[in-house]
Amino acid sequence: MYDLVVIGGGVNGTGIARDAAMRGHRTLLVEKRDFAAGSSGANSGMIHGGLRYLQYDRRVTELSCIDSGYIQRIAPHLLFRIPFLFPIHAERPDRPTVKERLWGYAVRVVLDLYDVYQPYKRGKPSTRLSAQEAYALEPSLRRDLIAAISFDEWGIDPFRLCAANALSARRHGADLATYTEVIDFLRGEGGRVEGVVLKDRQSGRIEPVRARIVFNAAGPWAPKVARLAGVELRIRGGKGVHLTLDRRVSNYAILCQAADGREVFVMPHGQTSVIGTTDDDFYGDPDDIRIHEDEVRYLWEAIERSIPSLGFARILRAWAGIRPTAWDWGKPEDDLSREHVIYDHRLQGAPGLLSMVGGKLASYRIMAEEAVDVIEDRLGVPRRPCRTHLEPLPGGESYPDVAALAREYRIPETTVARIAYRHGANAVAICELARKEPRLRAPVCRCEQVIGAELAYSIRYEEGRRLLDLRRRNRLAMGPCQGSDCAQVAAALLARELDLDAQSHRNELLSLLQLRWKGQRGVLVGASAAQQELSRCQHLGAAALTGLPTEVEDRPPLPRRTIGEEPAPLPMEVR
Amino acid sequence: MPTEGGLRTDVLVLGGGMAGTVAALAARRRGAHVTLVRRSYGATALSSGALDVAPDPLATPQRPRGQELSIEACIHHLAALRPDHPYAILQDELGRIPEVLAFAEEAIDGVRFVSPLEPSRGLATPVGTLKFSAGALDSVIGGDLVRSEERIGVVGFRHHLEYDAELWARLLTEACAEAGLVRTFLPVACDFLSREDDVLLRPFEIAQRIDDEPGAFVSSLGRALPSGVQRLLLPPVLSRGEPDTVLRLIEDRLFLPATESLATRLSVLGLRLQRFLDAALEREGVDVVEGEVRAGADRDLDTLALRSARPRSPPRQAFLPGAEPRGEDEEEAPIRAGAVVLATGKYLAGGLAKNGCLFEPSMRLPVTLPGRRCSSSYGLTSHELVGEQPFFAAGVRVDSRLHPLDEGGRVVDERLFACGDLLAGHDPAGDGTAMGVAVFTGYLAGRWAALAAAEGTSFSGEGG
Repeated sequence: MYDLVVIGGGVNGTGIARDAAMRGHRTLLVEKRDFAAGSSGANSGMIHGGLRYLQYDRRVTELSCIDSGYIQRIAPHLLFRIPFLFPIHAERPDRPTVKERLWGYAVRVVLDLYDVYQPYKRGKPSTRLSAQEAYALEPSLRRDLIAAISFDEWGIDPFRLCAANALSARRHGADLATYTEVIDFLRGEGGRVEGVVLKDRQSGRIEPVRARIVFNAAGPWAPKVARLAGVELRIRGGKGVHLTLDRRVSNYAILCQAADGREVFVMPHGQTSVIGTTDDDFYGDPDDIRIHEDEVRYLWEAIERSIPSLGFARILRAWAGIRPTAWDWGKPEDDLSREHVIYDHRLQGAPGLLSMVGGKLASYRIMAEEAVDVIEDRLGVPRRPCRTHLEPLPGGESYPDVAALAREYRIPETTVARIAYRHGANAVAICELARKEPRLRAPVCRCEQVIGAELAYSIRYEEGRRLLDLRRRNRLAMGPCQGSDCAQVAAALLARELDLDAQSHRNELLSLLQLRWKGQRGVLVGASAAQQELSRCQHLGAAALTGLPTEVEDRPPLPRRTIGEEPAPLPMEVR
Repeated sequence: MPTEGGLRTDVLVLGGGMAGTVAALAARRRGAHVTLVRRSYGATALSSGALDVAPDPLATPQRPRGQELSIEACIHHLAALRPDHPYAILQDELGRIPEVLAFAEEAIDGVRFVSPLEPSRGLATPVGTLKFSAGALDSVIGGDLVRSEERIGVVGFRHHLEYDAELWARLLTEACAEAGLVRTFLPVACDFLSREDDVLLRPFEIAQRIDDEPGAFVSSLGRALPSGVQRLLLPPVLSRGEPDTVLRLIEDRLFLPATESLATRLSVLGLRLQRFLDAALEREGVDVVEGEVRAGADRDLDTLALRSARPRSPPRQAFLPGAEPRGEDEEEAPIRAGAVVLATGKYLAGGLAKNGCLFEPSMRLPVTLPGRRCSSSYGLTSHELVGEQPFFAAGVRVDSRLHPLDEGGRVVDERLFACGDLLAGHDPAGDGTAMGVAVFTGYLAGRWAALAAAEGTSFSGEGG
């Protein structure tokens, strides 16, 4: 019997599970796919302070900034600085109109106000730049500026954040169950929710689990989960599309204006540039989000106005997620409040069930803290102190000496740097694995610098059960080749580690290729069409993967050996 | 032969892959002077080593071997099922398939087709699946898993991540079982490539290493050989160009017949095939020119110009219709031919491109997707990867003499032919006919082009 069952393995679900486990409650985290497979994984890749919300939702900005500061403290290895440029355009830069100058002034005022919150997240204050200074910093800009103002944000890998939270929860005694779906609730007298009925998608096995409180943190699926308890929960799902380019096209993140006046951005993110984002009401099935070429062109044209040389870059893929925004009627998507809301469904005849929607990735930690406070209240226990802002996430304890590790273990320094980014202090354990099993020193994904040891580590210690999980944990197949080079070797490694049968092995390859295809469909332009033809010839033609079942994303995953706890991080001394 | 006023030739072939090469060789056999212009390697140089002609119409995932119909029957079935496919358009010529395949085998050293009266061979892939193919490189075609019941030693490198003998053996056993074949595969994990940094070697680097030390490789096989092995299946990395050396050494020292499997990514076999094609062109006396040909005015054969093939500034992509990526201005030499064969491939090699709309860059011929308007961006692809993808079956529509057609269905020019991946109705990855279409349409295009050139003015200036 659990104290708490959390439904949903996104940033909220894993954050809540971590906090609850750290406070000593017996917790089970249930996720129907994998950590961050939903909205959290479709995040832009930033924990941004919410500059936009300064106008009408200032609390959101404040919370996001404060919490971003905490995230820095607990997972410093996952964050990297993304400085932004807010360009002030003029039709004739030598003779700006009054309106254009006033707009520049307004932007300065807003960014000065934003500066008040920057210290919370150790961001640099905004700086006003002349047009010439802006061109010097960012040569690719179109020459139509009168000024530009810089401000600071932090970039993050949302998959690693969720995985780290989940693994931390496990370390504190929580149970994790990925690829496990909630298919019903256990009800007691008075309609009380007394637990969940779980279906293990691997074996098909159905199992009831009793719990004192069930927390629904399923994001866009929250209404569907709530309906299983006969409760209506409404959200305004907002579809957001992003594009990934094959190279950096700018040094700074640049805000650009789209055709309908919305602000979109192009930002450097690791080895790529990310363009985002749209915001459209979504009425469809969150399990089946498709990206249309219209949305791609909308973003592309917006950025091309500010960076005319954009066409030299290739779009690797388009990706989308649904923001589970709290429901409101009569407002356009962009104007909706990003505040989070916690619902107690007692009033709807289902005591024991709580839900949370809304919020931002940047403030997940404070949202989780509030949620666990409410949970403790419903459990009837005295409030225990929250320590999620004090204890580092797994890997965040210390940052390894990349150069020393590279020398000691004879792994290229750039690779070790990527491992250190993704795994922090645990990079040492991965290097040790490469030393113990020399075959694993081989690079699998050359685009994203993933060696076999990192994949093996994720499979053995990080609940990596499918090729798609490895993609999320380690950025496998996320680079320019999008799996053409690395998918087959990675699938073979997975098959070896997990003792997969041939059909599961093929299924894994097809799942990865299908996901990749989903992202490529809307961007079959120029060189991407050639790349996709090559991939089809290699996989469907040469490897004869044609004709296998198509519903591969939905198929149950694979046999799993109980592998075990992560090894504790090794001491920093390399010698 | 360059003369004043540029190049003149009887038959001009654009594209140096399988289709273009076969077209050039076929035209040459009819006595024409042939010039082949190619820009770079394309799909053929990246291919798996298999030469697939037509899939069994009744093959399903549960029954991969289908009915084991003869290759000829498979072709006729496909032509009946897909009226837009080149096989259907060339229905009247299908009787020449045996002649065409025999020609390809004879003219190109290093490839072999099975008789069209027999079913396709089941060849192993590195992913542990079976690919059914009507032909392959010499070193591969002997590895049919359907007909041979021997105990097969599957070779891998113990210290290398990619070539895992045990896993491969297990996957092939299961794949054969799914196909209703009970076969025994024994892992042979040799210790070749045991130096510390050998884990980093890529397929072509391994092939180079085996080229350098064939004896050491064969010895390592001998050490790892379990008892009872009757033939060997090797990973597709035997050699950059001449696998026979190693195969003969294995035969001599280990007394075992051996074949290579097909390749998938980073295909050494594809490069070998391209080399065989190049050698055939040289042997037959085809002029090969590195460059790219563009028509000055749309579809006008008399305005063709040759540009050099050196790398230009990277192509720019755009979503606006008609915005063709242009490189730097370069020198152009006019080129005149009695007949022109387009064998420029699909997207991979640049025979088709999409920038806003689909277009064909060389001569700006109209591009068709079977049953769809190509200007619409809807319906070009389907969501399922393994579903029908009209985008990848787009191409140039032709009549039954391989003349490209314009929007109104009229022949653009009696001297113009198209063949290979460029043709509409043909999805090279999806319909299992890539090399068959290339060879068949290439052969016919080459012959008919030579005929058309002979009827017109020959390059020496005589006749009319």
